[in-house]
Amino acid sequence: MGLKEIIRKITHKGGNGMKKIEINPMTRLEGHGKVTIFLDENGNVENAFMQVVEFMGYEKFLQGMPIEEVPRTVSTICGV
Amino acid sequence: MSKPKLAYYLAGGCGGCDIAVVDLAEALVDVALALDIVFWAPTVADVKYKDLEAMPDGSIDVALFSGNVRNSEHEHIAKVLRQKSKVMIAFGICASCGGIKGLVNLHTTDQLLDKAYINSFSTDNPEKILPQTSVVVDGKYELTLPTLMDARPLDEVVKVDYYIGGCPPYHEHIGKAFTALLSGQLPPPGSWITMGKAVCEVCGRNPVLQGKPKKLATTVKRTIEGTPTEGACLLEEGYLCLGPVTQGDCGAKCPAANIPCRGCGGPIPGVKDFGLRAISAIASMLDNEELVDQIPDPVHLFYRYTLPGSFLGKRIKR
Repeated sequence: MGLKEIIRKITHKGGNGMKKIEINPMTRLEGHGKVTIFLDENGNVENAFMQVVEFMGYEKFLQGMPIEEVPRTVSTICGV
Repeated sequence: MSKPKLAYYLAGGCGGCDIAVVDLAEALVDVALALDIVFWAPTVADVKYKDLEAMPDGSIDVALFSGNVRNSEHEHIAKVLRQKSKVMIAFGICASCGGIKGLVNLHTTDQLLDKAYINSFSTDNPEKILPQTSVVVDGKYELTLPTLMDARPLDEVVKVDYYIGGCPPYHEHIGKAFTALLSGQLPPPGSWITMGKAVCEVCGRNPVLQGKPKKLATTVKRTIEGTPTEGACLLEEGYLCLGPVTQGDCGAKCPAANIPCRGCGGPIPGVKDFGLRAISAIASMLDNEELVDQIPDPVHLFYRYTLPGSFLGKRIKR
């Protein structure tokens, strides 16, 4: 398969006619991320975005917890 | 005979369960050889959501789901995985009961976002920008994010065949679970995969196992207060340990290191609501009623790993 064909296969049109490639999820890492690449009419990359799609909320729910319990709790922010 | 097909998904978790699988060490080689891994996202295999969606229904033999269901993406993949898989396992305490990350349910989404993005000590966000499910950058680049929801255990989204507790599951227990899976020696559907003993029953500090009587706690202590007597029951000394109601597939590793059990293993068989049972167990082991008032921060203690799946979980917001 030629490069043009591959790009045609994995792209789809965004709302304003712009071509968009979504890589979802980003793999081989802990945590959830997504890459979105926008192509111009010639198929060249015009812009690209990396998003972290997760939100946890430890800042809030740890409030009120005895301090000595915090280390074993926040170890689950990332377990890798 | 073709190898059983395995899928693994990390939803609202931390990857600790993935690492616990890696902790199988040499046994991992046997497991990897015996299974065909068709999906393991996002941590291990480079397979995308689109590839999973394209797989035939029922084509995956076993799906392990770790982490709770916290946003629309987790929910979508949970439903897709259920459709593609013959057996679905809630792997670890987040998927089984909600986990530590399920403590978000104590607060509203607005409160959580406000603290993380606006009103925290190290945040500089004068425009008060918060994550949006949909945004157009520079007037032309459309980007989307999943919708945040209250945390839920997996069985509130799809049917779950088996549960494995632990934060993370203890590696020797994972080895036993894989052996049971591969040999088809599984308990009835809907069960926890566990040896069925409480942490106390395998704890070297348990006085009953040493032929001594069990004493009631006459004080309530935080773990920073004093040092536990060597070999003595932590609960008797006043360190609130949830070993009596927690599955002991971990081999009571925390009490062995002077750290009271916090219940990550999940409820012992027959218990539906871990927090309620833990409150009742601890109350029955205190010498007098006044001690109850000394328990620091009860909700983070009794419901640390099981709030979303509990009766209490859906009813309170601070």
